[in-house]
Amino acid sequence: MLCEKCEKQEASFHYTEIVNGVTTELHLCEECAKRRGFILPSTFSLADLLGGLLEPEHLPSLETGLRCKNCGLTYSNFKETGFLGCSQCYSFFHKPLEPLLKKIHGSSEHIGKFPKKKRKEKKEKVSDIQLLREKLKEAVAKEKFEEAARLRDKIREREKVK
Amino acid sequence: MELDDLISKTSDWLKSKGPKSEVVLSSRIRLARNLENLPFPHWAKPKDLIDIANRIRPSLKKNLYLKNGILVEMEKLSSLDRDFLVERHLISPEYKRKEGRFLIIGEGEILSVMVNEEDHLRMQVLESGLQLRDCWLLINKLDEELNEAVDFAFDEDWGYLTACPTNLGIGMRASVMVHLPALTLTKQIHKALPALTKLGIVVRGLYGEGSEARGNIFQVSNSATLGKREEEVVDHMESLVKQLIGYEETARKSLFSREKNSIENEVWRAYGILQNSRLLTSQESISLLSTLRLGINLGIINLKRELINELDILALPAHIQKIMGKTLSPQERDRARAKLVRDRLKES
Ligand SMILES: [Zn+2]
Ligand SMILES: [Zn+2]
Repeated sequence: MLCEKCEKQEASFHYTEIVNGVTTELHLCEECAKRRGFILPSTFSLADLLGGLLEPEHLPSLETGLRCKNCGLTYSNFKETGFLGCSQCYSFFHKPLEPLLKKIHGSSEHIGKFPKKKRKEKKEKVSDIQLLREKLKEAVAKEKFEEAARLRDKIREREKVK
Repeated sequence: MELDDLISKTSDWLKSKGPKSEVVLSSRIRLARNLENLPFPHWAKPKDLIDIANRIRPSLKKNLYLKNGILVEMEKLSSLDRDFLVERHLISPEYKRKEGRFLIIGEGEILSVMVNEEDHLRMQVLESGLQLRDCWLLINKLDEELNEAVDFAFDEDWGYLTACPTNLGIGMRASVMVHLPALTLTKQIHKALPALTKLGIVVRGLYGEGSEARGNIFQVSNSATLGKREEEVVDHMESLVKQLIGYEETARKSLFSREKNSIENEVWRAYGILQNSRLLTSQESISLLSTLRLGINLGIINLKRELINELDILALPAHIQKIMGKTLSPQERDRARAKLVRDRLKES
């Protein structure tokens, strides 16, 4: 089977993902899988991940100097230890963290539970993507995996819009 | 209840009562939660930690599931007691014995909460057999109840905010402990485990490092916590573990039909050694107990699985010393361990 992304190399990586009960399958070559952030080492430490991601060319000096205004932690402090300083660090370091999260989790979008007080906002976000979910189910049922992957990405994008 | 009362009690998850207990020892879910704006434990000053602990303590103490439990202030703990709690899977080895850190253990050791470990709150549910779904329902209830009293750090896009970005999002780690002697003996484990890791799963040997797990016990956990829903992770893990159980059971059957004599021999020899040893290291006891456990599941020997699970823990160094009521040299431990195992097998 050929990789469904580049259609050049043999697909050696078969990825199954279950999103909201819908199973999506992707068949990719190693290179394309890596590019999409699907391959994670079997046991990984944050230092490895940071090491891979934070090589000099990925890290403009501007970001090294970033500092959280709530707790005073710098981005370099985080890089050295793997620990953030407080919950607000996530907003001050938003820019460099986003690609890191994609690398660790293959996603940078929370779709799990919300605390009770914030659940109302979540409902509004969810309702307008209901239609896309239906389409995704259909695509998977018909084994149109490429379309399914596209729809899945769309759903994720919509979930970003508040 | 006091900490020392646990010595004579069998943790609920060791009772081998849950589904698929022939292969699955236990299921565990951990949730990480933090308070808004306050420093995460790694960077917090001692007075911040005490302040955080004081904010959390009242709601934990009156919690429906924990109010009859044991509260352990970490700074008052001896290093032996710390190791004892690590062996019982109630705390992590990294949990410091310093001020501002405490642990609450609920009845039967099913629920427990570490305060100011890596995150402000680390809740845990530990049950016997394959029961991730049940673990999730229970821990979700605890989370909801605690959230009534304290606001947790949360971002609409990134979910629950954790000290380390590897836990961000749902902040949930679901793990299942599996006993895979037949897959290990037939060397199929090296094919099965890498396949799993490609499906968003991390596998670790329980005692020891890497893929060479002593006692053939492996821990299977989810790796990603962002871009997944909690129930989805639970379902995904359960279905993968069921596949793994299927492989193990097939391997057991074929192993038994091909090598009946040598398997029977191994099992009865392991029993003989455990019944007669005068010195027993914890490494040796764990691997002999693994052989006995396989023997029970293949119907070769008639012993209770619960006894084996219990001995697995009781034979660990801190447990032996707690049972004897004093610190022991390694040789003294090996003697005490041998006697304990002999006595328990005689009683059964
Ligand atoms: Zn490709
Ligand atoms: Zn901060």
